[in-house]
Amino acid sequence: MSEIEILIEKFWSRLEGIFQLLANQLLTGYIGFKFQIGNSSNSVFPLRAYLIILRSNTGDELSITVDIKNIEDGFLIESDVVGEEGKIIVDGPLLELHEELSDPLVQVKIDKWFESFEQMFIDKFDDIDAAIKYLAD
Amino acid sequence: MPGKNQVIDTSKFDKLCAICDNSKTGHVSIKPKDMSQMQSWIDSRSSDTTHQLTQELMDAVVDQVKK
Repeated sequence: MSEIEILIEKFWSRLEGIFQLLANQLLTGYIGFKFQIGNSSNSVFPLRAYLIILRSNTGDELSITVDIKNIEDGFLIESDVVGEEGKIIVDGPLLELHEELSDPLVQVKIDKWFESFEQMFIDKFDDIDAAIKYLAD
Repeated sequence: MPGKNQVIDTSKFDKLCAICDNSKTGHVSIKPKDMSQMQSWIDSRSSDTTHQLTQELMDAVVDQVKK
């Protein structure tokens, strides 16, 4: 495996656990809602990870997304909470990585990004909860 | 409220096609070339597996823009 593949695998493993916890926390008290967790990748985005909350199979959805994008000389990690038609409910933390992936500083920066990402759901809980509450059926 | 848009390279499409359905707004619809696949694509929303058309669409995203 290449360094980026190892980084992505570790990153996704950690993120998937956070998504599971978030889904349980955000949907506490809601009945009949569904969620999906997954990821994809392509030539531009080595990782596109998502937690989607659905009111029903045909209803509106709320997406929590984390993307790792190839940029010149590095990678960009972006995150957000998005409603229908791409409306950004919360814009999450950004991180640009330009170091060699073997540099220990990379892990330090990623750890800090995860802290900020998790903090976002504490700071913006009311906004996200309201968006879930008003998802159309 | 700010929005997030996906930039899609439609030249990467194989089983999908993009059609401008509103010349005033420039709105574009993305549909299967074989419309008999449409229902299974819709139904796949509640599935844990990724439909081949969804995969094709995800593979064609080359950027995203927030504004």
